[in-house]
Amino acid sequence: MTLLKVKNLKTRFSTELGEVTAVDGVSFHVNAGETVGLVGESGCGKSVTSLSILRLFRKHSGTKLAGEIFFEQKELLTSSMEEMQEIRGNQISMIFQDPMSSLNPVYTVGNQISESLMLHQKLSKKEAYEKTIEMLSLVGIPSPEKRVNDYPHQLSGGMRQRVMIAMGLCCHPKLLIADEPTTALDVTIQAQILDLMKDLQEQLQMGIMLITHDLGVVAEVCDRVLVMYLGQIVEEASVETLFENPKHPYTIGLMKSIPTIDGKRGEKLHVIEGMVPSLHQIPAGCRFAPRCPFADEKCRSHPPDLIEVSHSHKARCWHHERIGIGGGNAIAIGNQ
Amino acid sequence: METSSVTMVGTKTATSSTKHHAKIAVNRFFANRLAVSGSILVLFISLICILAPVLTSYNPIEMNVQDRLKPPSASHWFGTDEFGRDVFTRVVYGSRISMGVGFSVVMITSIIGLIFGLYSAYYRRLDNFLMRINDGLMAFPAILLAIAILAALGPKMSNVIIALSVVYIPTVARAIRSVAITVREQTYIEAIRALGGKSWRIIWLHIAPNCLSPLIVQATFIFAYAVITEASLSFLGAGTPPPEPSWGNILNDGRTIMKQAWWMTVFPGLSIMMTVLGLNLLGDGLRDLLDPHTNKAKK
Amino acid sequence: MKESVSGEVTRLRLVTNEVKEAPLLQASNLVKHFPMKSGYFGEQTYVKAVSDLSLTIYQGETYGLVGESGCGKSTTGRMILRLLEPTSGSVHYRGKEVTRFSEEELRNIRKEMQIIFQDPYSALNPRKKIGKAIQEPMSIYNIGDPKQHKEAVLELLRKVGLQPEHYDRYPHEFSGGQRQRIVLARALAVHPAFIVCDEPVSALDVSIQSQILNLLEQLQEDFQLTYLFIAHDLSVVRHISDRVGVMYLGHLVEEAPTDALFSEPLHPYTRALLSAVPEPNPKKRRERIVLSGDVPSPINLPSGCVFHPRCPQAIESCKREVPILREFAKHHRVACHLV
Repeated sequence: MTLLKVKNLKTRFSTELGEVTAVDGVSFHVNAGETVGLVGESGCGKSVTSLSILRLFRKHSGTKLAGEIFFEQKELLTSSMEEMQEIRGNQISMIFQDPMSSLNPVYTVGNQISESLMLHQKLSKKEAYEKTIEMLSLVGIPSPEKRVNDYPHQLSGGMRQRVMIAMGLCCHPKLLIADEPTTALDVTIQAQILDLMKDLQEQLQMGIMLITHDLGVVAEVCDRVLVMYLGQIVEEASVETLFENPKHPYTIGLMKSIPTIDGKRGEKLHVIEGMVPSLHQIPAGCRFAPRCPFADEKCRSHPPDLIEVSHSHKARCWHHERIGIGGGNAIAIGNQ
Repeated sequence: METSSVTMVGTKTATSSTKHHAKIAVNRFFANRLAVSGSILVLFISLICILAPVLTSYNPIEMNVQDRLKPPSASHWFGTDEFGRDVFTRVVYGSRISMGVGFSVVMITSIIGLIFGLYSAYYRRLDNFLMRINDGLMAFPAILLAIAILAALGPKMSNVIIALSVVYIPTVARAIRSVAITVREQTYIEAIRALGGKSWRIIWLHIAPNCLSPLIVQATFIFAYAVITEASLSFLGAGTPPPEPSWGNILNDGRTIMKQAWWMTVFPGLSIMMTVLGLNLLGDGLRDLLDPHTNKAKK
Repeated sequence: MKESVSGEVTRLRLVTNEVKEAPLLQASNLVKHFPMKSGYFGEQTYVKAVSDLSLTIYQGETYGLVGESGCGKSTTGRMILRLLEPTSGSVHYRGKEVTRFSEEELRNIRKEMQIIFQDPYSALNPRKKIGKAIQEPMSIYNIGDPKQHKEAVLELLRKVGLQPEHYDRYPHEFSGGQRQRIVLARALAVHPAFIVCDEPVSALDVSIQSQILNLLEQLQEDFQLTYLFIAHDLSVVRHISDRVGVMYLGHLVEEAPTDALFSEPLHPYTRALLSAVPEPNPKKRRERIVLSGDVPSPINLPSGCVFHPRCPQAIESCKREVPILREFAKHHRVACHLV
């Protein structure tokens, strides 16, 4: 069942240097019970995409949204702000990278969770309090009846992220958008949180949109992956396909440039030359062309479309047939 | 969170040249209505100061008994006072005193306040000592403290400047100190320490330049306070001694005969208001421009 | 091909060093306690950031120091440079005791010992042009003729992969990766022999990370540098280090040559840490050792072995006796009762 369907989403901001299109024609869907990874580096538009879905922009920020976003049968971009309020936190929740700045320091964590329960689920104060304790123990916080009265600063980073997750899940949302939920955490805590998210997904059958830059996390928890570069999706595939047979040079470059925990050592790392261009200076043809070792005249002048290269595997590259791992060309993943 | 995505986009990969940024800064200044209207007012008053002898042919001090208490007319735009002096001339020359006192006070408080602020931010021990003195001075109402100092030194324009400087140095020192403490904790300060930089280098070449924008904002407000306090002191008879045409003096002269000669109080009053308003607007505008996120490139 | 040969050279050099040369840097029994008052009349408590830590770094090697946030790895790096005064313990650099140096001696030794930081955004003065920032260390030490400074700066810019036209730009015009290059150039301006790299790539994007890691290796070769590489990312540490030390709650719990540590981790904490690293390969999901609970507060350290409350194998004596770091295999030291 399709939970979320995004069609040709465009998000534009006005800046002092002129208007920029941070998300440019992004289309994808998330099914119930499925985890979709949104991967890319800073400035690729992955966070803006998630903020656009919930329309979390300030009224006067000059942000323009175009396209269609269907959540179940409902079109979100044309919904009123009241309807959006009803959906946010209740049917779609979002958890952020930095738990400290997303929790209000002057209220106890119990207060903050039960507030959203009282608002969305119309629970009484007492019911909300009990539900809060239940949620806190669900996310693995020891002695929740004590912790419920703690303030955010009294908790460790891992505990705070758990509180954020409890807050995100307390209304049993159908879709969870997690924006770099474990980036600020240590690996051992990250492992706990990722396991927890998977468990809860199975119990609640929710769809998860996981935004991250960490390919390791993607490989561990995602079913399907979208790779973004400079506001566009450049590759979309199931997680196995993506890691086994990546078709876009950017995806391949990313995979090769990270050192692994058990590959060969003592070799130079693969490098994607240059850096992500500014949104004010978007290349004319393929957006990755200036950094791509395969780019030719066509790439520099004609932007490629996102096309199906095999069953449910899409890539935005003119030369996808020639490119891949072990395809007899310069790009081959050596580390695996 | 990232709701203000405008800063998130484009800044990290900014490659545009410095010239471009200067142009943006200029644009931003002209888009800021507070700053623009404030600086127009301040510029206007500064021009009056400079052009005083050109604007009027009367002498601001010379008395002329025949012309006493004339209402505004073509020959005396702002009327005359009880000694027959042209009020317009006195207001115009008064601006020299007000602005002169304000400017001197700003220079002195900025320099001394900067030194105190920087050193107390950098040396923890000194901090305790200097800030207790500061607290002591700030515990007095500004005008009372100024009157007390002037009572000890005697009413003279130079003493007014000294008194007002003593009154406002703590304000500047405190503002600079709080900024300097934040700057001191930045990694680039640690980097200079790691490179073997001495304290003077860290304080003056690295912390001080990063305190300049808040100092400029603070200085603009101090200018406004100084103008109004100088006028108050003169009005109370503790400031610039008559017959010097300070705005406070003119107000004081007109106070007793307000009903017969309204022009003697209205025009100097308006001048004070305009100057202080202009400076405050400029200060607010500058604060918007310089203070909040001066370098947006920071994460 | 060239790279792998030079990799061999580094490792060979390491082995010969241990036989012939005295260590470049030796930290012995370093302790750092940060005083903390709880409440207005509260008693003085201490955050025990680093406890009794000793390590040795040899000429030309990269020593990786890993651990999770709050384990004291950055504090250790700063104590070694005396940017933080150790509560007790000593640091010897080329046989001289840095911890006893006067201000002036310290200033002079800083020419040889440098640091680069995690956050390249705050590591550069926003009001200083890049050229001036890199040139500053030269004027601090009056190195060479001021007229030749610009020349030297341009050379450094080239070395770290930047363009001459960057000389007159301000830091805000650069991306994170470029700033890290600038920070490196500034550190190299004084011709250091030893650089503490404090999480130098963790704030950078994936594709930029590899550029900086390669640059660090290149510079190590060109300038014969020795690195203390502090990081929390195990894959990065594995890639760049010759030897690795693992820290937990202010203690060095294991230390070994990189390959030995990653193929045969001996300490239960190291094992859990390695197993928690997510692997970018969906087919190779490893068995994970999930640690229960959180890292305890460094104010009230657990008795005995600091890891025992979370250790899946803890036995009775772990709660009472503090394990000592002992050598189990060649150059492989572990602090655990069970090994």
